[in-house]
Amino acid sequence: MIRIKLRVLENLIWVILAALIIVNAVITPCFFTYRNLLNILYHSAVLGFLIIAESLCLITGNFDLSIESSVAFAPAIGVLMMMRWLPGFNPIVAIVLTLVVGGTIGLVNGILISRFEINPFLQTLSFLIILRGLTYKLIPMSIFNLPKAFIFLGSARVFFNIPVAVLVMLAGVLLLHLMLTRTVFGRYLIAIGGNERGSFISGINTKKVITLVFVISGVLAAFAGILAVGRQQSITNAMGEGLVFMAFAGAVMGGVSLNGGAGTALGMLGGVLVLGVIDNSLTMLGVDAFMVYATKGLLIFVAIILDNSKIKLRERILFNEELKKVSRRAEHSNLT
Amino acid sequence: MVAEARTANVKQVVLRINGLTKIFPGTVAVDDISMEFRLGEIHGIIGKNGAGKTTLVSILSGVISPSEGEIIVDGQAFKRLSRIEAKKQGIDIVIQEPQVIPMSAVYESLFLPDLLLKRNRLIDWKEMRRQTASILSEVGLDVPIDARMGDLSISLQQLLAIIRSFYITDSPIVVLDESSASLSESDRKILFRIIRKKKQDKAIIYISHRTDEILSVCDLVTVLRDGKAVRTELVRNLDDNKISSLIIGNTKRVNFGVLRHYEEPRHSHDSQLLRVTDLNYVGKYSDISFTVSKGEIVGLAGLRGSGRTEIMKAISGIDPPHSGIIELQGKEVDFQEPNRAFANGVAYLPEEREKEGIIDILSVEKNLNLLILKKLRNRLGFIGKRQEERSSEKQIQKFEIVCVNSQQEVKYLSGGNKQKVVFGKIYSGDPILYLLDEPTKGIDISTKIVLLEMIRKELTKNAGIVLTSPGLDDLMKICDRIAILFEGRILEIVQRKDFDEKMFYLGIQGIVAQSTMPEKDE
Repeated sequence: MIRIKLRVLENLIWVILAALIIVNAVITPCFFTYRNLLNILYHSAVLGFLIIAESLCLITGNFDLSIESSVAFAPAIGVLMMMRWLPGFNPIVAIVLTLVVGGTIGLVNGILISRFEINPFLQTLSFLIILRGLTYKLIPMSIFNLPKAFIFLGSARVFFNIPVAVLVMLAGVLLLHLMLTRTVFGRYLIAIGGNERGSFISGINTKKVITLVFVISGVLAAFAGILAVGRQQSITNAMGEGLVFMAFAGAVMGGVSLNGGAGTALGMLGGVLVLGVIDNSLTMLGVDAFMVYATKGLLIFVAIILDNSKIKLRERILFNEELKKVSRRAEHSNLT
Repeated sequence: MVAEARTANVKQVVLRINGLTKIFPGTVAVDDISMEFRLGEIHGIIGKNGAGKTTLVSILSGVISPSEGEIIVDGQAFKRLSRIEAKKQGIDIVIQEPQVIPMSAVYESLFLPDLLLKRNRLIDWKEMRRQTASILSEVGLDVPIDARMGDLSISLQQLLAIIRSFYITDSPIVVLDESSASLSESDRKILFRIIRKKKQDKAIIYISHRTDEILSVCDLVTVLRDGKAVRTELVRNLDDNKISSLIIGNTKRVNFGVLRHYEEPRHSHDSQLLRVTDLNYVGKYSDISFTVSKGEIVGLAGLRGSGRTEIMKAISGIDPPHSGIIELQGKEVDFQEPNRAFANGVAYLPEEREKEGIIDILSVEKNLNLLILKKLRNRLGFIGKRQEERSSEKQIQKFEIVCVNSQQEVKYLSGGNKQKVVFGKIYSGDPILYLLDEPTKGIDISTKIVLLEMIRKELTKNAGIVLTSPGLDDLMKICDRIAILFEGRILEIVQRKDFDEKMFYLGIQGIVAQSTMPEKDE
C-alpha cells in the first residue's frame, strides 16, 4: 500500500496527464484522434528539448535563462551562413555549426558560473537579453526557403505519418534516462544538486561537471532551435520568446526540484506532454489566445504548489509508515 | 559544599540549579548537577569536551529543557526555561560564535534589536553614537563606531557581543560560553577588564577549557566530568596541576584501561608515506612539519583554531597552503582541488558531516558508491546495477550500518550511521592516506568504539592516518604519535610510550609543564 502511494506521488504527473486526456476526450471535439494526438507530440518537441536542458541545470541546483534566446540565436548563425554569408554552405555543416554555437554559449555561461562564481540568474539573464538583441539585429525579417536538409529534422514525417521530431524527442528522453540513472556523469549531477559542497569535498570535480551541464544545455537549446526552424520552415527573430518559463513549469511539474538533486527523464516527458495537451485542448476549444496565456501562468503557479506539497506529503507518508512499524513491533513484543 | 568552603557568606544567591539532569539517547549529558551562583561572583565552569558544559549552558539559556531537576531564579522555581523566559528572568548568554549582521555599523549593532528611539518614534542615531563612543572609550577599545561589523575580525565581533551584554543588555546573570576562545590576546585583556569592573552587581558564569584563564579570572570554579559536577572549589586553593587533575580524573584508568583497541603498530619507518615540511598559511598555521608512515596513526591534538582542521584541508587540496612541501610516497604533490587529492589516494573525512560529508537526499547505496562509480561500470560504460548493489552491501556489512535497506535515504539515519556511510564511502576508494577530521564528533559511545576499532584495525592495513578528535581520550586510545598543536604551531610530537593526558591537556593550551614533558630523543 505504502509503495503504491509513493509510486503515485512520484509519478503524479502521469496521473494528471491521464486525467487530462480522459476529460478532453469527452469534452473537446476531435481531441482523441490519431492525428491530433500526433500533433500534440509534434508541437511538444521544441519545448521538450528546452525542458530537458532546463532540468539538467536545475538538477545541479543551477538554472539557465539564456536557452530561450539560444533557440533563435544559434540557428540564426547556421541559417545566415547558408543563406547570406557563404551561399552554398553545406546544410549538414550548418546544423553542426548551430550546435557548436549553442555549446559555446553554454561554455561561457558554465565557466563564468562555476569558476568565477557569478550568480547563475544574473549571468544567464544577461545572455538572454544580449542574444535576443543580436538575433533581432541579425534577422530583421524572417528568412524562408531554407535547404531541405536543414529543415528535415523539424518538418519531415516518416512511417504512419509520424514526425521525425517526435522520434528524436523520444530518443532524447531515452538517452536522458540512461544518462541520469546509469552514467557516472548523471550521478554526479544529482550528487552536486543534493550537496555541492559535499560533492566537492568528496573529490568530485564539481566545476567541470557544472560547466559541462551548461554546455549540454546550450547544445540542447540550439537543437530545439533547429526543430523549431524546421517546423515553421523559416527562421524568425522572435522564435522561442517566453518559452523559458514554460520550460521551468514543465520541469517542475515533471518532478524536478528547484532545490536541486531530484528529477527523472520520464517525469520530464510527462511535464512536456501535460503542457502540450493543455495548449492543444484550449486552442481546440476556441479559448482566446490571451486566456491561453493566463491559463499557462496559472499552471506554473500550480506546479510550484505541487512541488512544495509533494515533498511534505512524501515525508508524512514515510512518517506514518514508521509509526505503524513501531506500534507493530510493540504489539509483537507484547505477544511474545 | 560551596558554602562550607566560603569564609564569609554574605553574597546573595540569584541563580540556583537543583539536581539538573539531561538524558540524550545513549548518554547522560548532565547528571544530577546542583550549583549556586551569587551576585558579585565570577563562577568558572571547566571540563573536557563532552563533560557537559555545553548542555548545561543550553539548559540555562532555554535552548533545551532538562529531563529532571529545577532552575531557581530569584527564588522562583522553573521546571524548564524557554528562551524568552530565560531572557525575562535576566539570564543573558554570550554564545561561542558571534552572530552579526555584516552590513550594520558598530554603534547600530550594539543596540540591536532594541534601537534607541526619539520621542517621535524615529531612531535616535545621535544618541546611539554618543553612548557607543563613551562605552568604547570606557573599556579602552579603539574601534571606529562607524565600522561595519562584517569588516571586523571574529575577535572584535565577539568582544563587541560581550560589550553589548555587559553595557547595553545589562542582565544580572551573564553566561560567557567559551567567549575567550576566539579572542585575540589584547581583546582578551579587555574582556577581563570588563568582567572585573562589572562583577559587583552581576553573577557571571564563565565557561572555558583554559585552566590559566579560569585561575586568573574566576573567584570559584566547578569542574565537570562525564556530566557530573566533580568539585566546586575557591580558585585561590587551586593551581594548574590540581585543576587539570580534577578535570582529567583518575589518569591511570582513563589512559590505559581501555586500550584493547590498540595493537603494536605494523609500520616500519622506511615505508614513509607522507612527509609534510614547513607548511605555512598566513594567519592559520606556520612551520608545520611531520611524517606519517604506512600503518601508522598520527594524531593532531589542539583546540579549535589551533590549525588542526586547516592542516588537513591543506593536505587534501581543499584549502592549499601558502608555502611548504607535501610529499606523498616520496613524490612532491601540490593538490589544488580535492578531486586531485582523491585521485592520488588521499581521502578526507570532513568535520562537518551534514554539510560536507553526506548527500542527504541520496540513498545509502548512492552515497557509498559515489567515489567509485567509474569502477562499477559494465562493458557498455553504464553503471551496473548488480555491481553497485554488491559494492554497497559490502560496505554496509563492513561498517555495520543500520538502515532499512541500501535504498533508504541517508537523511533518515542516525548521526553515527551517517558517519559510517561517510567512512564506507572513502574506504571503498581504497586510499593510501586517510585524513580523519573529528570522526567521532557527536557520536554515541558504542558507535564510537566500533569506529575507533575500525580505524585502528582495518584502515591501517593499507594506509596511513592523520586523526583529530574533539577529546584527547580517543586520540590516546589509537594513535601511535600525537602532535600537540597550539596557535598554529606544533609544540611537540609525542611517542606513544610517553602519552600523558595531563601533559596533552596543558600542552594544547600552550602550557608546557616541565615536570611532565618527556625528554627529547636527540
